[in-house]
Amino acid sequence: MGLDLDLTAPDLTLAWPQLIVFVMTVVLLFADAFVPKAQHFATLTGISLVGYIGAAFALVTQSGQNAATFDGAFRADGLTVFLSLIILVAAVATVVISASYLQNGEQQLGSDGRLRIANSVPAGEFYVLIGFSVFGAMLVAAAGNLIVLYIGIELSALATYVLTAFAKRRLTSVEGAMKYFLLGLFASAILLYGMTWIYGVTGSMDLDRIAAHLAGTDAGDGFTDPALLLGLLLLVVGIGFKMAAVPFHFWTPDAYDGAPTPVTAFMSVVPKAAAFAAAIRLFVQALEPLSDQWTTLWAVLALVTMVFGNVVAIAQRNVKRMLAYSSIAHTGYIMVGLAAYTSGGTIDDPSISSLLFYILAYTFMNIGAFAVITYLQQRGVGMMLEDFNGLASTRPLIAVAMTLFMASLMGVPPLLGFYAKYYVIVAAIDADLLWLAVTIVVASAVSAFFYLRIVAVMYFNQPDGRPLALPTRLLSGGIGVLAVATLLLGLFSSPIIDLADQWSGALTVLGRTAGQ
Amino acid sequence: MASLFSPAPLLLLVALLAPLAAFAGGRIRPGLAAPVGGGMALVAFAITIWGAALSDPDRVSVTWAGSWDLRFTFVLDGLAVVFALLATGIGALVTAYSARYIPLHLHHEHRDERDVVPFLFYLLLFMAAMVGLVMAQDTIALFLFWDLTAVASFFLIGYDRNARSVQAALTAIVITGVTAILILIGVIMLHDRYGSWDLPTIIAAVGEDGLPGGTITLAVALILAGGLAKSAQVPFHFWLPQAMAAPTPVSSYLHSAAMVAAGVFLVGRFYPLAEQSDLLLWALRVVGLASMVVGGLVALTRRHLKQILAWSTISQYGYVVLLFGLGGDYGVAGACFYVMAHGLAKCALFLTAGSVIEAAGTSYLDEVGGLARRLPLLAVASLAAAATIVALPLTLGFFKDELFFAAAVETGPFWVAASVGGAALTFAYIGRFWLGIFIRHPERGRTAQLHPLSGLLVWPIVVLGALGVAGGLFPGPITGLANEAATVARNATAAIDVETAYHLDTRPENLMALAAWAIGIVLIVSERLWQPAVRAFSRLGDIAGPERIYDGTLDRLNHWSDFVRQFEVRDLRSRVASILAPAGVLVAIGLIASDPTNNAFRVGSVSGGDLLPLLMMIATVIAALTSTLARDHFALALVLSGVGFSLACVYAFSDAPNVALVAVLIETVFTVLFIATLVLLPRWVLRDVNQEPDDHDHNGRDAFIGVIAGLLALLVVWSTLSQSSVFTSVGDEFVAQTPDAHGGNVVSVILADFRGLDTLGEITVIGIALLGIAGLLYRGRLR
Repeated sequence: MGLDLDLTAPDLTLAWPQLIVFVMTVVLLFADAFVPKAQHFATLTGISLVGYIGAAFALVTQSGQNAATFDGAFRADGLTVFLSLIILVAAVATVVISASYLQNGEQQLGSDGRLRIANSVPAGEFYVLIGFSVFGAMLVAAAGNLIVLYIGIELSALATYVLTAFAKRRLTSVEGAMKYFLLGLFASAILLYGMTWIYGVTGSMDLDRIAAHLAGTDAGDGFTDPALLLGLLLLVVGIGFKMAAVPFHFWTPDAYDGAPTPVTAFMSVVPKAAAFAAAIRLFVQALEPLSDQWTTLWAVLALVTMVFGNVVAIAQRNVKRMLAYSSIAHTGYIMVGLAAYTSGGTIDDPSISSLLFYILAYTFMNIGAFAVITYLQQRGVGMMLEDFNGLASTRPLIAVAMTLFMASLMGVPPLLGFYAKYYVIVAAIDADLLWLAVTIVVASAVSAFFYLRIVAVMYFNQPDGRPLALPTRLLSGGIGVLAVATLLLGLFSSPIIDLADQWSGALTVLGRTAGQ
Repeated sequence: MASLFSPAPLLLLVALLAPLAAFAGGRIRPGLAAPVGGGMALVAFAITIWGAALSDPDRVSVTWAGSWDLRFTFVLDGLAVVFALLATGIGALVTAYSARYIPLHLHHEHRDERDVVPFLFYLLLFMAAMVGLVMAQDTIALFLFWDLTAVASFFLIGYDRNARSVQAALTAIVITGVTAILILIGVIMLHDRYGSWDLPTIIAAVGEDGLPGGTITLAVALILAGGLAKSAQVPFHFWLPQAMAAPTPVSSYLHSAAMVAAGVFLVGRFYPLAEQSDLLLWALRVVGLASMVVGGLVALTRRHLKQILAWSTISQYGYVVLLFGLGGDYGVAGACFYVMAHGLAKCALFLTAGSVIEAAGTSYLDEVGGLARRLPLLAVASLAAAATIVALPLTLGFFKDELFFAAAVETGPFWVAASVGGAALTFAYIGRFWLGIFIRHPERGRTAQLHPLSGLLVWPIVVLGALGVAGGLFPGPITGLANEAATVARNATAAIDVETAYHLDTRPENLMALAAWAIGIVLIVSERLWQPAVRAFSRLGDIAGPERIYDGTLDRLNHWSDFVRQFEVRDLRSRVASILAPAGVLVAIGLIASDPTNNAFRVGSVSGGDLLPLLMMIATVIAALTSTLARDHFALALVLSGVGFSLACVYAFSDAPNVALVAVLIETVFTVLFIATLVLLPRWVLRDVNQEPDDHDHNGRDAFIGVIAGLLALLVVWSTLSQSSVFTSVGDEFVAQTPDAHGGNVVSVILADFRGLDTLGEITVIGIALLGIAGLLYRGRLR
């Protein structure tokens, strides 16, 4: 084996969007230190928004691209574009909904009935960490080999660990962060261990070369190599942890509950999107010849996750915990897309595009729901179900938005969530996984209980008379945009699903062509 | 689409604008909501009549999602006209009634009078949803409006905001919502087979030769089940009596004319498919008969006015379903006719109940009585409505029963008996209702004081009653509508022409009607005799009925959820175990699945040179084991670094000096960091942690999981290493190339040249880590 390194200069134009986010984060780091206090907050928020939106524009210009650079370590293809766009949408949404939280801090109702600031959050560090996490997640989406993939996941996760602990005077925040951190490290170790096994067996870090090697051996058919199997299983465990799949979900409720709510909104989407990006890169791209094995695994995990998440959510009185379990359940729905992948996937195979569309839909509705909680929580009330009492009569528009988010998470047509579920169900049926399709439907029916409970509380209970301040313009604007997107995006889902389809269509994985 | 100015698009537009207009009007002045909304409903009603008068059904079609083969196609065909007339006409009347009733109701409930606006908004939203539903030809659009009716009904039933009504609203939406999912599944199955969402296309594809195979039958059955649940048919009926917690106008609209009618409408819409299967027709008959009997019997036992009507609605829609099940021209036309006659009359009776409750201040049958003299107009109007339901001659209702009997005669003697029995039950419970309010004396003396009733609480009932009588005198137009609807429902090529007229002869229909009335009168007179038996039946339903099963399921689900929540793992060790254990299980399954016997576990030979690495490995194991025993944090830090350093030695002995070097560096940094952190921690933290009692419960479990995980890893590693290596080592290449790199020492060449960039990175990382340590030291607390 010679050292056939490709030492030509990397094509940086392919990495524009990622570089923009990176540079933006570094600029933020300096701006935090040097911008005077009066313009501090506005400048930092502005830089963040400009950076993310600029990166999004740079991504859009890459649409249709299918190339690799950095010796194959970095890919710019349909998957990169689509997932990075989702991640950027989540980032912009997080910045928008967290702005007032950063200005006012986390407030608590004192015994004298007045609000006082319990936790003030340093805006600069917050934005920088969000920036790094977004950068990491985008790296995962663009990863062409195992190392970049792993670095991306870790970069994204490490920043999120710190963000979770940002309300550092609240014990639940620190506790959640600690549990998330320690278990996350443990899972990362397992993931890395799995990667070393894959490397050991196939002799390559490059995803396409791994696929080529596997397709070249009889590993796909006989599957007698326990080392390969071990690597596959360890990857499933590690990725399963990152995406909060049952039974690797135990960190989720504590971390979601403890983190400052804008952070919860962020971490319910971006690390999850990163985990699914990793799953697609690892399993669909690199381990495609083993798809018979891993689709079965993901199918079983999806089933368990959907059932468990929805059932346990019913018992929760704390809305953030309830949404944590709901997001576990949604992980299950998304995993169905992965499980529905059919070996040797044709261009018509809707599984991966349904998965991608689901993550997009989930981004809008879930961040929207957490935005409403951000608004409520910031006004000094906690996050219990009772805090939604009579919201419809005190803040009717916010109640309508929350109703939309809940209904969309439930999967009520014609909202975005319905289309997402629809695509996944169709993919499952196409893959002869009727039992999974039926489980989605039944699980959605069960989920109606806890989603509707919030709606019922908002509309049918009397408000408890606590004065609710107006949301800031940025926050209410953010909630409004997310609600409108939840309402209307589904109706225009065809172009989006076509964009998501691009990847499956443009896929030129070595392994696939060699295997056929 | 010809133009916007034709009935179908206009009706849809007006209906959809009605709730918005009412809302906007209500924003100006709460009193304005009802006139505006009611006016819009009347306009919609007029447009529907216009559409009915056209010879060809009017249609409008818009592309919705082209790439997905979705279109919004709305057709105002015969079936749609029947239900749209009901929805808009009764909608207008109920809006008028609500304009007076709801403010009074809000006054009783001590609520803001502006709350009337959302009420009317949801009521008219419901009307709009119904109009959209009945005209939709695209199954997805149909489903969409179907869900919209559920949403509107959710807010209407829960309008009173007390625990009972919220519970009722949730039950209603869970039952109708979950069964709506059945419809969606059915529709998707149809699409899967025929590749179209368009209902006429699907019907044409199915053809006339029966349903092809079990899958399609199942799909249609699922859709029918969704419809029957909405029509409150056994065994999904229990949500309807609960929904009586809603204000009376809601009950009279949703639970007589609109929501429950939507269910049978769906049966009618999919009837061309359902008709092809005898199995499905039989299922409809069984469900209809069961609902008719159960609803009728329970209605006889209820004291609450609205409960009587609710159960009678279950029973009456049982008729309609039975009629669809009996099939044929008489059955289907009868069903459509029945829906209209019943809708008019039952709405009037509900409104009567509301007015009586408002006037008398009680809602129990045995606490009111003898009101005929004090409220003569109400009594006469509701008598007309009651007569319509019990099918007395000269009312519209007579013909609904005549068609029913005719369809039964066509089918067989058992159904003749069943239909007479059902009609007799109807006679009995409606008679009990009307006589109990207006004629009989109250059993418990109340109703001394009557509140005066305003005109709006009486006139809508008069209008409905008058319509019932007018329809009895001139049944032609209604029959025509029913015939057109039946033509659509049967997908018949020739128009169905069922006649309704009075015949003074001894044809079986007339004899059956006489028998039904006779039995009905006997039932009313002999109430004391059968009342205990019927009560026992009703209690049986409470004990073992579907409502109990539903509640039980919910309870179990809640308990299960609570149980699993308690199982939520809280401490860190259990969490680590919760990752390790499933991972171990997966690996074990994988090992078994991958057939480990295929590659033997080889035991290599140990030579003298292996002694040192072997010793270091043993040292690693000892250090690792000790780390589980260490009680003091400093000891723990040292033992852990022992693991690292001895592993580094193993690397060094396995021809990987560069890895060993990095390992030593990292290990040093870590140990220093670890100890520095320990020093910085306040003393009491460490003391507290050290004094924490040992968790003996979990020690055994943790040890077990640890050992299993280790063993599994060992097995896998062993079996892998037993196989011959796939690659040649990179080491030979390094050694061979070393002279070219102008170095004498392999290690230094690897570090400085072959992997020079890696080394640079490593050094950078370690440098940054050292900076961190310097920071810790500099902060000064490490002295």
